[in-house]
Amino acid sequence: MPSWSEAVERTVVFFTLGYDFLGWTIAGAALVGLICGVLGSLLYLRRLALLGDALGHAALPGVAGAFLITGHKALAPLVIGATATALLAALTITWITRVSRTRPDAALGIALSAFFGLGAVLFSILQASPSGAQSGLNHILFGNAAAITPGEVGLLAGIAAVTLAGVTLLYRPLQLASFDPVGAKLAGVPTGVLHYGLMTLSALAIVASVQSAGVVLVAGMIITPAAAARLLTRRLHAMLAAAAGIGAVSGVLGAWLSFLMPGVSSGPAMVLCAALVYGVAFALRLRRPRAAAEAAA
Amino acid sequence: MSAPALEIRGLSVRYDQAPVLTDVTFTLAPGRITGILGPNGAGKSTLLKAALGLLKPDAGEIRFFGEPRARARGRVVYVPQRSAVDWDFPVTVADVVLMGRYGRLGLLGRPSREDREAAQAAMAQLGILELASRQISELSGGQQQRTFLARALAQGGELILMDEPFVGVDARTEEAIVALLHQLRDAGRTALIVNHDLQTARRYFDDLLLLNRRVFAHGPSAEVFTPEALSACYGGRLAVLSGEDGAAVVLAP
Repeated sequence: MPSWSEAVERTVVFFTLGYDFLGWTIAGAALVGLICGVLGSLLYLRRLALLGDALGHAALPGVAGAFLITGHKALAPLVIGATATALLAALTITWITRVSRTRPDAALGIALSAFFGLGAVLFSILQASPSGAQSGLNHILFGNAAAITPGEVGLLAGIAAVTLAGVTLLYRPLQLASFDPVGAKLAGVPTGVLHYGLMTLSALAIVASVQSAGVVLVAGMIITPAAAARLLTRRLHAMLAAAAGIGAVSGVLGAWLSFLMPGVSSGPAMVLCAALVYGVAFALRLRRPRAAAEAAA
Repeated sequence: MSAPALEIRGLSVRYDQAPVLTDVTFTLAPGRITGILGPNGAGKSTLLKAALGLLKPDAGEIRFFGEPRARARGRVVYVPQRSAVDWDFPVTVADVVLMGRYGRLGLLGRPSREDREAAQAAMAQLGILELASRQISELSGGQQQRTFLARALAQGGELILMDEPFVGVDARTEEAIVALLHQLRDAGRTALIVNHDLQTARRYFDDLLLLNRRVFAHGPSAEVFTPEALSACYGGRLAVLSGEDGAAVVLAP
């Protein structure tokens, strides 16, 4: 742990962008929180929040596979590999649930652990190989926001743009399809297209978030800001905005804590900040449950 | 004569190989309220879902107003069972009612003033205007049901399908829903309603469809609501007597 004076000094350095890379770190962490907050809200409302956990864990074999094949850390193969295995895991879960008696929660657990196990095995092979020294399994597992590259921030910015544009333009169909899938189908909303679009975007977002949040805990950035935002709001657009804000703040605070305390990964720090916000929201709602109902009555 | 509001021919549905509905055939004339009666597990909700294309039948043909479902889309309204709705979803009463207009907006459209006025009028008609900004979990069961009816009204469909609309609803709301349905019927709309309450069936519905895996009887309530037909449909699970005009008096469900 740093002393108080060190902590103050490092905090000033962090927020005044005392190193060149800190601008990318902060931007990346904020974008991760924003994207995960918005997409996480939609997954949360469709009771798919845990799918984020499976997608995150299932990104690992894709990352390892891309390392093994290309032999170095290039952005495009990593993203393609990780998105491919994450989506494959999502499809596996759907397929198992549809054709067998295995329940969805069990199918999710099977796919999550199997893909993560495969990723861990591939990483062991990788670290035994000559090029493996730089691969940094720990950073992939738990995130290292400070090491984010401008290319990765660019990718996050692109995903954020697509996400915000999609949610703004398709707000009503998304709202109806999430709230009342039957009514949406009857109203002619292409619910299947929206569903798979959301899944694909979520997989991509989770993969792009892995550098900052890590594969193990990225689900925390999907679920927790959304759950906190749901406690604090009563309409969908407010929930989306609140989740984006809570996510972004948690992301930046997590990156700051990680910078403050060398050796602390950014993923756990981000997730703890989000959990703290959730705790506050939880306490607020406990104190005045259904206040709105009473006020209106 | 105009095309029937709903025409079902030879509909058969299975769940995991077990037949739920077998060779169901009936037509609904426009401008009438039909109640679907039958014991638990008779396939009443399944029939509605199959008609709406929410599950795939093994066999059968379904036409709305003489056309396949896809072409009659805006004319058919479905009010889901209250237990099938996510009441914790962050939407207000006004949001839900406005959703009735989404079908005509297309994917990227925004509600016009006309859409908002239709939603307001529907809320006013159901007496829930002052609840407009409440989140839907902050409503009583009756208010929740009125909200979805207001949505159906805002949508303006010609055929309304409802699944157990009176479950968990106070007596006043039940009367209000029935009065509204009768009003809509008098304006030419058609309704098909799954219900399990035998006591009110004759009073609420113009026609009755007795269903238990297959159709046991279908026709005007007074003709269908007989001890013989009810006993046949419900098996031994019902105690019925003949009333004064030959209608059934149900002693125990």
